[in-house]
Amino acid sequence: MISAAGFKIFIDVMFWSALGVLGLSMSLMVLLLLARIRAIAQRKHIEALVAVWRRIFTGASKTRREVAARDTFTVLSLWNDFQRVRTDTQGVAREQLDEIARVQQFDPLALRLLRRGDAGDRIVALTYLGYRRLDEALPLARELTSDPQGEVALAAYRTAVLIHPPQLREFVFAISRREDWRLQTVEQILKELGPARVSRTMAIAAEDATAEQALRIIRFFTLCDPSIARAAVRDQLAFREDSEVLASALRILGPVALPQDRELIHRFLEHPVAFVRIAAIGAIVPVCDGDDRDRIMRLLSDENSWVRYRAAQTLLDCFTNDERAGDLRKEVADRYAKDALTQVLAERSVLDLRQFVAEEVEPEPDPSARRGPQRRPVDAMRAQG
Amino acid sequence: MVPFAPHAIHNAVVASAVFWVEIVLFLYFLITNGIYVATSVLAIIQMPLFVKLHRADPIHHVYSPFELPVSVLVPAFNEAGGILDTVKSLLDQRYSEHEVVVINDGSTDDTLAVLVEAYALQMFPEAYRVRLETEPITGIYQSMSHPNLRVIDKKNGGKADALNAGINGARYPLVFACDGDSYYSPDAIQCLAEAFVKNPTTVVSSGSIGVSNECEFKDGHIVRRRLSKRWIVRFQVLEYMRAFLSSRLGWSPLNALCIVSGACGLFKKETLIEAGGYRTDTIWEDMEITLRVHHLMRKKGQNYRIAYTPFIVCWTRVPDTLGELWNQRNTWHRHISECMTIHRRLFMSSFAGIVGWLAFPYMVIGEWISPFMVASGVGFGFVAAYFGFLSYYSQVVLLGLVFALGLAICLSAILLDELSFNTYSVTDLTVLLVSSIVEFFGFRQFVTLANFSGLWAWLVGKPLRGRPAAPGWQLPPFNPERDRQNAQAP
Repeated sequence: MISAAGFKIFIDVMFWSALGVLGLSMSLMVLLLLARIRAIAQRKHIEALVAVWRRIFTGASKTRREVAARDTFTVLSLWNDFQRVRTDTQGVAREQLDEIARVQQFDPLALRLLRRGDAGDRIVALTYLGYRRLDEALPLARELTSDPQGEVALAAYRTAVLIHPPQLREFVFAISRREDWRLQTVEQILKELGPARVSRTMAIAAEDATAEQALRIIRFFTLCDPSIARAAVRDQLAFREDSEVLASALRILGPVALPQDRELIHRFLEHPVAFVRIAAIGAIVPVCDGDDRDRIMRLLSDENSWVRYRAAQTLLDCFTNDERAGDLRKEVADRYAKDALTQVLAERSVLDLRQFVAEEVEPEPDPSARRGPQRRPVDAMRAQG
Repeated sequence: MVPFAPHAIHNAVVASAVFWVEIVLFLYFLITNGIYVATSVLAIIQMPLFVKLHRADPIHHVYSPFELPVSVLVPAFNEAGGILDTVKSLLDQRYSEHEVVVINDGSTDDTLAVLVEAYALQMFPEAYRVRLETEPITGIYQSMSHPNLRVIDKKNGGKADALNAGINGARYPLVFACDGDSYYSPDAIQCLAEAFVKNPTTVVSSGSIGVSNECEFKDGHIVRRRLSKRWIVRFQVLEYMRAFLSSRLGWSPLNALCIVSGACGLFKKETLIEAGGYRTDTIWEDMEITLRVHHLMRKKGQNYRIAYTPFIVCWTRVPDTLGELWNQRNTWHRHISECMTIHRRLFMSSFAGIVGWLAFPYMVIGEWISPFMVASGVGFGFVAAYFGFLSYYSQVVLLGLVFALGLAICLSAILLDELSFNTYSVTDLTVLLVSSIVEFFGFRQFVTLANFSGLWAWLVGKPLRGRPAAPGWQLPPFNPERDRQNAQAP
């Protein structure tokens, strides 16, 4: 049973809750208006700020300017952008940017941002300090290499390696252990460091790693010196059993393989795992000779459609001129093998037709044409398992 | 304040029962809205860092062979009017490597002809591999002008069937399920694929969807974000903000996202195939496939992640007439009903983790039975007040509380949008604020009725779009083993 007084308390609770939430809503509305006013002011301020600093970074203005604490992120981000694109678009020399940073006294600002800022601030500060190779930043950068935020830890490693090159070994080992790092960023850092510096360390790290760790390193061998990469992947292929590592190593070996690697690659053409066979077919293309034709022909009847497809591509690329391409279809009895050959032949004719269309019709340039590094579809099988 | 009227109570037992029903209703609204507020708070905490990290990213938009290549699947049924804009916006993506696969699902209009004309399509003898059963394929076309565009022409089988055909034809390890009538921002794929690079356990990634009505588009790309002049669209803009910014962004860090929009979901292809592909016997497919992925991965005990990015990567047109809106909400609610019953074993199961113990129960309580609770709550309150068991005042207070909570959630979503994107003009923002109040007077009730009608239609097994629909509970429950067997290639 419930008393009238109890019910009244309940209604009162509802009433005051409603009033409280309504008050909260009104506060949100005010906050919203304030946020808009602030955003308008901030946008104008940033536009003006960027215009002023752009002139300074391109050398059009030599004035020394104070940077307010709230502007540090924007100014340092802009300086970092100039560093990144200095050679191709801005035409600004690195020495000039360093000189500007020195004159404008950015270093203490960056160190302060690194100590006090949030994750975004720290990334910008670390990127700046890496470009500047500032010794003072090393202890802080080292400390941040263990930051739980992947992006911050990665930026910290970059800075630490640029300031203190022996740190590279630790960085490469970290690559093999951390899986929350954005691969493109790691790629850019390794490119920035250059193959001469990273190749040997990468090869050593891959030797001692577990299969899972090795996989994370091997994929970056494309950025290494070819001779070191070749020797390293040969080692991996000799003693590893993990199929993903083998496929990854074969993909690296392909572009740098020498004729003496044929025998090693042959072993993997009959590997029980399909994507290893696919990688092996890809690896043999640059070094194959007439003796390999029968091996590839056998793979044309493989149980996996991607192996058949890749085998058909290789057969047409390496062993058959265009006049004899049709004859190849007659040689095979298997229906699936014929299908794979038909598709690859059709792709070739489409390619020819496309070239014809491009030459004759000359359609207007279209940004939708694929940009960036391109792979053939089957090469993308690396992640398919 | 109007005092409680004891003279109106004729029967103390009835009065007590009424009181407890009132308490239950109060708690229901408090819990459902409380969870919404909690996800909003989570979203508000995450959003600034999200935006700042995005701004601080030193190598945004660098093409790299380390990005996983993506097959974009565009199911199209009678989309002759908009398909070219959609395909253009997808071909224009800033991404290292992607292909666009349009699946013409037996269109009876000129969809195929328009594509053939615009992209110089040629019939192509592709060795199509059947990993998921679909309606028969009638032809595969390759574009002569765009090497990364193909069209699969097939007999009509619905969107889910078309997506399954697209999965069979996809060449890359990630598949992006799209809509044939939506627009995609140039960095849509990059935004979504980022999750796969950052966390290898990611199996699905999705993003926010914006309302495109009356926005300015050029060549399939948004030029200016503008608020529609129609109130019905403005209210839906608010709904999208609440759904994507407050709700999904809040559920995402808990790895408990229960729905990945059909217009914007990037999936690991092998996971989709392992799950048996899209089900073709449900009304929609987006929520079902998301729950199925959760179900599959949880059952296997495998570490996985369903990621979400708050950035708007897709623009879609929302209904601008009451009739269209009614149909949409009706079918949405039928789909929710189907999903709740198909995946009922997720409900508080030992294997289901936070999905089974928090997200799925919230879907049941906060979404599925919500129209029933709202309708019965309002009905019960006013009937009880009419017969003198409750005061009208108490009902007004309860409604006031619901209104205040709803308004707070709505305003927090607008605030999130403002803090992160800041793309609406001052006038549009003011209109949105007014809309957030006005929507309580008619729109919300209309949507509740449409949802209720969907729930009812599902219960009685009302036919849909000319095909008989069995009551949802007669759909076979989730069974990965059976689905895998069905999915065996011949």
